[in-house]
Amino acid sequence: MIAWIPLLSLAFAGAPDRSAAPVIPPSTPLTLPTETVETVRPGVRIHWLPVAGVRRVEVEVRLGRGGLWLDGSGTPADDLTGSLWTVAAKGWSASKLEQAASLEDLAMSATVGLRTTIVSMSVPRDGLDRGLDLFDTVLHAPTYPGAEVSRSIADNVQNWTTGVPTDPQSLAWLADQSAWYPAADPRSPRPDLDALRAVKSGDLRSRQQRLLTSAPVDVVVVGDVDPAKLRSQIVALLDGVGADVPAADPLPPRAAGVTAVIGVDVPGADQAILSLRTIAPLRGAPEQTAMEAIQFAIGGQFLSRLNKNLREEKGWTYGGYSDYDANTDESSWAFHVQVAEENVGASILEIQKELARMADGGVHADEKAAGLMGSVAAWNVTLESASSARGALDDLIAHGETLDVARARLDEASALDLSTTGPLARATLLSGDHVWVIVGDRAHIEAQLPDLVGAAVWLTPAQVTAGNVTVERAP
Amino acid sequence: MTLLTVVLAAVSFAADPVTDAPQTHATATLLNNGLTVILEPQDRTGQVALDVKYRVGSRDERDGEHGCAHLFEHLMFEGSKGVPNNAFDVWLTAAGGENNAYTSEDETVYTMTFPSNALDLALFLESDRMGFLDAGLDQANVTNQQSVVLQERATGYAAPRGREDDAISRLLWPSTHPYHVPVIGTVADVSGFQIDKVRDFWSRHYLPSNATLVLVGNFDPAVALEQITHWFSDVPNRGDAAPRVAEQVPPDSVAQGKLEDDVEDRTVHLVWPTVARGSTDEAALDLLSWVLDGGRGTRIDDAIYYKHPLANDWMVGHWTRDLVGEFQVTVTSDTVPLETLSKVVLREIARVAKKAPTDAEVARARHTAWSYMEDALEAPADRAAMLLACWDRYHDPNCMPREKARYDGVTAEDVRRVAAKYLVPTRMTTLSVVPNGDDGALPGAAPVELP
Repeated sequence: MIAWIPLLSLAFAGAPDRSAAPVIPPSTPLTLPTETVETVRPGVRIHWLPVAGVRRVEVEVRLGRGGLWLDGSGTPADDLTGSLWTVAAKGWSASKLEQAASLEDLAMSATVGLRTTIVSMSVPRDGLDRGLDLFDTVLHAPTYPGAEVSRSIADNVQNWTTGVPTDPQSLAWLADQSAWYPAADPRSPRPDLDALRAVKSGDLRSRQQRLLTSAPVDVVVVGDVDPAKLRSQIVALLDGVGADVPAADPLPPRAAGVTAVIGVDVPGADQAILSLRTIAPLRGAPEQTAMEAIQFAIGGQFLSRLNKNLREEKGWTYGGYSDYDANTDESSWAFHVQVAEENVGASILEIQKELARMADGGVHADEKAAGLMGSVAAWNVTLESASSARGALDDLIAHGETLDVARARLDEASALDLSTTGPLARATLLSGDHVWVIVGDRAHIEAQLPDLVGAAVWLTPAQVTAGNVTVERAP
Repeated sequence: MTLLTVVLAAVSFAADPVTDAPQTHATATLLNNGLTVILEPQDRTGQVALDVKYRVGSRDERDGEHGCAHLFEHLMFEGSKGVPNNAFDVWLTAAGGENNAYTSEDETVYTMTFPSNALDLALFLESDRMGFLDAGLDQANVTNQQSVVLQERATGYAAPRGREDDAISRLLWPSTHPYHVPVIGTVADVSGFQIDKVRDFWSRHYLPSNATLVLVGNFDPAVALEQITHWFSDVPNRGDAAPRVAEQVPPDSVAQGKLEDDVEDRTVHLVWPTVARGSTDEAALDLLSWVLDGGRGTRIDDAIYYKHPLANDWMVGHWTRDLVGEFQVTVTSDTVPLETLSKVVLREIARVAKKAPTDAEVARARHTAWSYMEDALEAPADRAAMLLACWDRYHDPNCMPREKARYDGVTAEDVRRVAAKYLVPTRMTTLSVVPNGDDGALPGAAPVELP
């Protein structure tokens, strides 16, 4: 029923002044949440991140090893060990488990990466006890039913044989990653369908059991919870998890020195996808903050220089964006955009102009200020829900960082000397270590390329999907 | 100068019989220029979400204007009286804010999130384009955004199966129906939209009385209402928008279409017109979709995948709009003929239509529906959208108990009844999507043109 209330009068002083944007008062200093780290036993830690007022509780068990430890590289068996970990468990068929999860509003998932394994659950606060019981069973005793394994293998094979080859975006990503990393690099995403078809249920179960013993173990608990009340349940969850395994070796550095232009020929296409990947500072390097400022200004927001140029001024694209993938072992910066094929050459030229302009003049003060405000807002947004808060904390833990590091990085960004950004842009965005990928109809594109980026190595979608992307590297 | 306001709704759910629905605490106020304002403070973070919805969508386009509601959405960022071209995004970004917008058949919604200290800026930007957009419009901006929109269309259409939704619109709704032409419009109309038409469109639809503003987040509601009142005080009341078209779909409106695409598998869409948003049977149809497709142990999921591996991909959904909704089943396979897939799906639907699902099936579906809504109340941006939906549906921003009651009231027999009433072959439209040159479309399917 709508409650109607009598007229209310509000007085205000004069008409709005529309001659200029209103002055924005200083913002309240950002208060990042307080993370508490508790060591349960050697190599096993719990990270508590209370976030008041959120509906869900998120629990993540992060195991210190992944595919590198198991096989020396990532394999299809690793992927399936992760994706099927939370599908069925002792006493819980896949159907029964899914039905129970639906009724509890419980979500569970697992991922086996190269160096770490993550098993997680999300449940409403009022269902936490039941959720933890179920999660305990799933964490320790997944069953990997043969029917589920077979179905998942078939789905993966189908995706690689009919899905990826017909999806230009997937082809662009695969070509980019396959050129950026040498075939022997464990980060290279080349699919191995024979290995995939050979995966057996028993293999997955033994892999899972082995991963469960790996260390270190970091458990992340995020939500509107009282650690004191929840502690015993979380500790019980970790019975038998983690052993005295030495810390994982870092990934080898990526082999540098690639200057490649990969064309993926899609006859009949009238659109083209362009991507450029270059080297960028490592995570934790002194230049990281400057690179983040460059990233924000060049392609990290709607009116970034590249999107403003290509979309708002030229009208050639619906949108282009860049990302800075900062890791401790290797980092890169990449820009992606889709344009009509007749605009491929002109778009590449404009991209190159903007990169050169950044190298010549660096980041402007207003771009730095906007980037700072965006970072503060981004942290605010991460605290809106348990899942977003977990994501932010998880990203820090994955890179061996803490919230204190995040705070320090915000301070560094505020103190950034803009004169450093131009030279850094020159060393990264204009680096000779780069990969261009162009996906589209070769017949319409090829003639537009040589003067701009050099001649491309043209591949078919089938070649890209099979991992047949080989590029030469400087010694 | 004084602006009169009317407080439209306040919080009063203490006596509501449903006790386990999450509570919202929004108030609604009508400004004397016709703008409805909904406020809900929430201080968990320093962020604020602001949505402005205009009741204009592609259904309001006249002949020669198809695609223009959406093009107009783009033009709302191109400058107004006090906001130069590009300044909207530059200023908001500099304040740590973000924005976006979308256009549907029924509405155009502009969304922002920003730190709470930027509230005046956000209100300045929204009020300036609501009241004074025409002062910032020029043909160069129109021309540029025409290119962007045409590229948006081309980008979507170039993706695998990227034309299906628009093809279904053209098949499902008769050519005279307001939903027939997709929101993205036609190339000819988007290309031909000139500055005089832009101004005309704005003057017809972008009226304060045709808009609702929702604010959720970290603010003092009394102060925020004063700020809103201030910034919208010079936005004139320009009367009411013209009555909207409300044509119904003929009960025998069926069609069989096909698209050829750069794919290596085949897809069939089975689609039925259902009911308008807010209709009695809407919730039962929603639950029917989850009874059919809610994971292992649900009807279609088991029949085409978990117990019988026929499909590579599938989806069941029910969407309602202001005039009419649609129930859709989509199945993709790289090996099984579309006729076989269709028969299996129709068999499962017929089973539900003949014998009501179990209470356990309906309870699971109800739980799924409700958890979606509860999660959508978490972040200010999602919560603002929920309050807006509540206002549209009930003229009451605090509708969660009613929404829960709406689903709680559905029985297994209701689910059976709506399956039998709406999902019948004589009301079914189909779209087959097949590889180029492939003859695997359903019999009688004719190519669909997307001009």
